[in-house]
Amino acid sequence: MEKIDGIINNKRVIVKKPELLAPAGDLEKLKIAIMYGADAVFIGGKEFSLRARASNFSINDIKESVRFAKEHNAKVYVTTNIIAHNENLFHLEAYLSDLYSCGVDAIICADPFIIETAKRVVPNLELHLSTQQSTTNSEAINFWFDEGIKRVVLARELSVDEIKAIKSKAKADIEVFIHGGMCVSYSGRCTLSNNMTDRDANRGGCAHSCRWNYRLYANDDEMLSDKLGYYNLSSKDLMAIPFIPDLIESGVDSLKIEGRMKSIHYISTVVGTYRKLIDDYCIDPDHFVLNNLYFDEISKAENRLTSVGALAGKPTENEQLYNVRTEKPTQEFIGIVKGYDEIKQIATIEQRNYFTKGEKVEIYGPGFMKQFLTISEIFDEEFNEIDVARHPRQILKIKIPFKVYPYDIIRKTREL
Amino acid sequence: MLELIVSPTSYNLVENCDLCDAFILGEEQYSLRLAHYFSFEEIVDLMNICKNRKQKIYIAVNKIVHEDELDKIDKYLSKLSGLDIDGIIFGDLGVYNLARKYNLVNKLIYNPETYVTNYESVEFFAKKGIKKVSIAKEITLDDVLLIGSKELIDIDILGHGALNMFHSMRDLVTNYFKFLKDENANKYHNEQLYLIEEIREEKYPILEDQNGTHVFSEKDLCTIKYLDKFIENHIYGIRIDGIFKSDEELINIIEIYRLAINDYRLNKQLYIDKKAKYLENLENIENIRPFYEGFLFKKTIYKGGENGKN
Repeated sequence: MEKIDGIINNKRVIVKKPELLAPAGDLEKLKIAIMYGADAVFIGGKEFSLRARASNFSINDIKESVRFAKEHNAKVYVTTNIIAHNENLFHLEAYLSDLYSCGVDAIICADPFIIETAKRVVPNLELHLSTQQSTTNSEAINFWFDEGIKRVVLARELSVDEIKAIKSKAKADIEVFIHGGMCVSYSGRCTLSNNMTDRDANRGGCAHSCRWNYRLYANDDEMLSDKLGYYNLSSKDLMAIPFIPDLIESGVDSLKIEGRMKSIHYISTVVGTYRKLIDDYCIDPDHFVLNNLYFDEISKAENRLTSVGALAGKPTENEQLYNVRTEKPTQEFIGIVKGYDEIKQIATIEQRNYFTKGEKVEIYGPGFMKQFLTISEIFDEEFNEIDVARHPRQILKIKIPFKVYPYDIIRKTREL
Repeated sequence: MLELIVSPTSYNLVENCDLCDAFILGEEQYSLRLAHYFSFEEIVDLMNICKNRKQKIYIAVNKIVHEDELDKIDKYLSKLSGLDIDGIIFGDLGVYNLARKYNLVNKLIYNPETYVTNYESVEFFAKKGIKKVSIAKEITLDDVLLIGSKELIDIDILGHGALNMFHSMRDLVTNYFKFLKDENANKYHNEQLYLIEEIREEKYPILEDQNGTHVFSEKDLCTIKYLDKFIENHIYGIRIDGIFKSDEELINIIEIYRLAINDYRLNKQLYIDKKAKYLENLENIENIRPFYEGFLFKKTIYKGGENGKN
């Protein structure tokens, strides 16, 4: 087995740092994820991918993604994770060849048809088995390894102890979800959406029927659910911060963040936080303290309730989401930095949400850099001074007395 | 000819029913969503009875296997390898790997419920040397027949019964009552309840058991009208699932399917002429769960649009 730690200058350090894998719903998000510290990103092409609305990368976009990623020493994985019906059995060969010539590092797949075709058409393309196969034990992993699967994304039903036990016996590399939305059912084995809406959950159409409101009845028609509320099946989102040290020590190969639909504010905050956490732990694991810093930071991007999922064992009522209407507003994302003129101390930014002069903001960037500011002057592109930034994606100039960089993000400071 | 396979509701039913070609038997700790669970001793007894009547026995080892259960499954497969069984139904590929140790691969029947939806996937498992593949219940009749017509391997499908739509490892009924601070939160464990979505009317059975929580379709899939098509397109077996049924209801359903298959065997036209009669007989079974055609004529949407609740 690979060595996980070693002694350097009389101090234990982690030598096998797991990959931090982030979602990217479009090219801008991909660049943000990589700039904020993702070692790899996963994206969806227009075909054979789940998450229909977040799967929009054309072959040219994928080429550009790979180019940008390589430049920053990052990897690109493409999801081809549908469970195909007979009508989906065509055009895959050409698509896989295109992906291979784009230079993608791996595809994430679930259907044996896609696995077999890839092995035949692009034998050098790395194959990852999607969580859609809900793989929960080392024998199943080793079955797939023998079929040519390099890495298995584990089911989200596993505790950290189970993950450790699996890792010690699995021949394939192991990828574990650490953050984001969760299926409450075993993934790939749920057809609520198919049954209730005709939308195929295993072919990119999941309607999230598990998140709807239900009433629960006994067989004699007595209503058992709360008279004022509803019965829900849904799960809180996953947030694995407390378990990152254990996961690193277990030697798993990749830690995955879910959320190709999420904003760049979310991606930058979540990726940035886990990047810092992993780096802080690996450099000095024996003196590492899991302080509030990580939790506070990640909560700025979260608008859904989170829990540790199954990582601490079989989920209880605390990991369930019982009232959907508990979303809280996230700390407001108002713009992204496009450039900075050091002489004039003027930043060029792209507006993302309404803000005014006098707004107190936090500017953060890759490497967990943070600075605070009260916005004193706002100009439009022609340097006409304005008081209010109200046009989405308008290019603006604002006075910032310290250096900022492209990809830095500006958000309102949370009122306490 | 079409094998009539039954997932039974009781020991008694198996003991007394010689109308079907095969039974699916399983123990609670190794299998999922069976109408009735048996002890190992009962399975051995019933096997002897069934063998004398030339009925086959398939053992369900179809649970989703977590790492700490591998030893238990391994030992069980070793035990099964000493019995004269006709097949082992599995849904977790870890079981395939363990079965290799006991030369049981050629008895394996892969039924993961949702995953086998195309003929290429069927071919993949055919090449793995297993006995049979159960194809998903979420594909259309045309797709079922196209897969069958390729004659890649012995194939069976759900013939009559509830569609499982959802399986969570979580105790979603108990968790809810704990959330409501109910003192006896697990009082509905192992009890069949039902759900109604707020803007819909269907009643979906929900059952929490030792494997978590399962949700099912309101109606049973019924395929009595398509048996000729199955036979002519090399679908070799249909399963009649006893879940949510009494012995009596199940026996009545088995009788009607048995008759239909026998009629076809005698004379195809006879079967075709009697389709309406079989349906009427099914409908007349007292307390029978309502039935429908599932996905046979309902093509699911590949990728979602902007529509639908989200």
